[in-house]
Amino acid sequence: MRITIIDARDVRREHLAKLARQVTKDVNPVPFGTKISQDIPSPDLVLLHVGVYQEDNGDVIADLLDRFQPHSWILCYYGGEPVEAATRCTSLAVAVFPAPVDQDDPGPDLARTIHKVLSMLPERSSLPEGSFRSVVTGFDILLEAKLDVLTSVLCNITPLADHLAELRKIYPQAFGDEGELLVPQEDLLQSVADLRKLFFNETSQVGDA
Amino acid sequence: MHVELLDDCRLPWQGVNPFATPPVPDDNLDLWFWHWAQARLHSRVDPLPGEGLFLINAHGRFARGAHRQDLQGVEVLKHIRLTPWLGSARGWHAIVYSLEPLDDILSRKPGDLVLKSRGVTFLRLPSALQLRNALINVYPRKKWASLNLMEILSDLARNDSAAPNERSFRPYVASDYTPPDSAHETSNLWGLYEMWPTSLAQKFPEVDAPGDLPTDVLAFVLSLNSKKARWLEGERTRHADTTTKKTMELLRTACKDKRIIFVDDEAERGWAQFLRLLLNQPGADGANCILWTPDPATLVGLRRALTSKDRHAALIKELAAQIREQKPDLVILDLRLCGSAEFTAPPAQSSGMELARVLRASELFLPILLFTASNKAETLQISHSHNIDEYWMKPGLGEHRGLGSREADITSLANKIEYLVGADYAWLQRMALDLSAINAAAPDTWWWERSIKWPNPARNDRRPISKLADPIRQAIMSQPARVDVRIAVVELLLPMIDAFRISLRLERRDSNEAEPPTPELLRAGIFNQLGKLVELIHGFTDGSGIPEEFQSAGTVGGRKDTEDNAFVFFRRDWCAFRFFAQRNEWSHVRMIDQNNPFAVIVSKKVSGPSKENTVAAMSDAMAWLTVPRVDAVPQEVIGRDDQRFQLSLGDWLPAGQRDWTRLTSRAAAARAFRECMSRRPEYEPLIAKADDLKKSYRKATKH
Repeated sequence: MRITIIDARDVRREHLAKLARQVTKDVNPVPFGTKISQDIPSPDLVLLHVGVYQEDNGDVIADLLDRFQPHSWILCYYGGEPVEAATRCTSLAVAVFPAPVDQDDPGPDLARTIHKVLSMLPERSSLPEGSFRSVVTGFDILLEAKLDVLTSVLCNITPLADHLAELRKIYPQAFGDEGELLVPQEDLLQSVADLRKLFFNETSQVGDA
Repeated sequence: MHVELLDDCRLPWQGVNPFATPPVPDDNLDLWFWHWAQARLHSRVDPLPGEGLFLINAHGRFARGAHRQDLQGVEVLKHIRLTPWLGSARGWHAIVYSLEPLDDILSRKPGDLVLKSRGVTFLRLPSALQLRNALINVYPRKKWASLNLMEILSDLARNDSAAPNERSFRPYVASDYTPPDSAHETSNLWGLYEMWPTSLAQKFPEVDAPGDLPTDVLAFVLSLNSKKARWLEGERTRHADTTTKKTMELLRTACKDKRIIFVDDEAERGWAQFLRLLLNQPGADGANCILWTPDPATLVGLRRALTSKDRHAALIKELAAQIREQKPDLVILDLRLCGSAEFTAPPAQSSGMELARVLRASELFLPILLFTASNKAETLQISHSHNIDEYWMKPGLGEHRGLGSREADITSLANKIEYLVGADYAWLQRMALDLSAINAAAPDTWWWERSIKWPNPARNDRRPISKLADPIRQAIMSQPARVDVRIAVVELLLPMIDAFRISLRLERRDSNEAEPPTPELLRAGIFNQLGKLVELIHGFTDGSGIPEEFQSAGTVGGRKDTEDNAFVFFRRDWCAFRFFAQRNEWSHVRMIDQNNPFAVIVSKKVSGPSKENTVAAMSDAMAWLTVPRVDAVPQEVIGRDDQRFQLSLGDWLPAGQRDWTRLTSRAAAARAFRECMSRRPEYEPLIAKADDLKKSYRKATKH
């Protein structure tokens, strides 16, 4: 696995490099002001500082994201505030660590997340979409699907197709042969309660608060 | 019973028809809440009543781009509990419903512990839609079975409301609170909010006058984290009392037509706006003080250059040059101009201190006020060592809260600015201008660099002074030119003026420095320097052939004539003699006594020369050095003949005083010398300039 670290803060960059070297030898901490050659192979993972300080020191975050996201996962982090290019990036290959990070020490939370990413994502090509973001930000796409689908049913609106698709993979028994969600309308509340029990793995009765 | 619904979904509630505001999505939940709360508070159709309860979807999506799992409904509940301007609705009972189990929520987000606080009922969907049954299920001990839904809700609202003002609520806030970061940025915004003039007049300017607040300050005060901070730290009372208003009036009068420089990386976040409000009269035509701030790009460049010492130093010099071009009356500097990027740097190495050093190197007497969020003693000590004139701590949160009220903070700032643009420093700048003129002028342009011939010394009975041989008489009568005197004059004047500046700062210091020099001691040193100036200009240039008794008589002194006990003055400069007499008074500390008209008496104890008399002496000295003297030509004067350059027995002696030696020191009394000088035409322009300098100081001290 190849890891590239782009961070203008020298001390923090070296900390992260040390962390990454526990897993792989191919770690490239890019010193501040160094241009990364276009000829080198794309890394599997980029640890990218997306704070305002990085741009103040000459890097253009949007350009870096455009360059690396087709072939690499990009784990972004920041100290003060993240630049907009990172927070508004919709690519599933890009995830922003949700909490600010100290300027010298990445801290145990970011270190744990990096370890998780490194252990769960050995190779770029084998990663399922959405998993990277979920690991980095804590966003649970399955939970979101459950909540959205149940709410939509209660409000009598059509759930998002992506969410239905996610749930169908795990709870095929809740779906009909044609892929429709099975929610008998005779007693809507009971049907949704049963579905809820299934999704949240509960054994309690409907009346429970 | 009023039921207020907070949800983006149209759930099929049974038995209740809650009041729902149409959701207006906003990018930011804090802003969304502000808009919602204001709309509800100010609604003409159906404002929030005194009693009611909330129905909140824990998974409501209120801000644009939100996800159900973000639990924004719980964040809204926190907003409700922590928003003081929400009135009684703040404590309304809240029924929070969710599809997710409570345990799952708390395990994902432990900071949502507020769901277990008093005044909150947690219900699961879909059973919550049958609200009556769901509530009876949750509260099995309450005798609700016989009540209808509205009666149950009324009972809940009345008997189970939240108490967000009580200490018992503290754990629910503290467990979810991230204190302001060490960068002081959020702390500064909070201090700015509390000091904003609107904040002094209105309790909640973010509701009553949001347009008055700077954008960054408004965004900060609306944020949930700042509400938590405010709750945890407690309210700080604010009101514009009479003292504050009077202080503001005095400040604005003092700042009229002044030019003040303000350098701070947070200037555009509200600080520059705040200072302009402070320094200028309200109203469109109220601007009377110019506040100059550098281009924000300059400070961004400075921050970027932190990794390169040479580049950083060059940018600091450029910024100092821009400041000098403005010809300011006062410079206000933030300690850390590069913000969080230099928080680990010691104060002495911060950009603000570096800029102060560069400015001070060329602008010796320009008043500098340091702004900082640091209240560390180390910063205060370092600011003194860098000749910063004043120091003001930006109030904020946590350790930067300060001990006093916000009015006290504003009053302190106003007093410091008023002082720094006031009489003392304005007069100091005049001294500095004269000093520059002496330094920069062409050689041989000063009277003390030219030969001066003094009239023949004589006695009032016209007898020659005994034992005064011709060579000695010649030496006494002429003062040869010395073009090298100018550098020496500047070298003496500079520390005098600097000592005065430091004495001003020491008078206002509020630190407990160990045995610092007192202002009085510094002022005594100034008088010593005056004596050296006189010796420099009027000293004997050639001691050969002059009897020792003449040499030891002093440069503007004389000796007693042994025949008739007259005291003969060799150098005929009454102004200089006056300085020398004052110098004798203060350099020899044992001579200080309570009869000395220059003494500062504190608790019946003489402590040193007063500031006013020091100003007078320095004004006289600068006038003496800068006003061109005409050659001393004997002229008719009002009064007895031949009294111009003589002091004979009986002259100038106060009634009953017979001893000339004692009178020498007593003759330092301004009145006696003033009379001598007023009889001589060559002193007229000197007296006029000296009076002007003194008047410029006295005039400005009057309010």
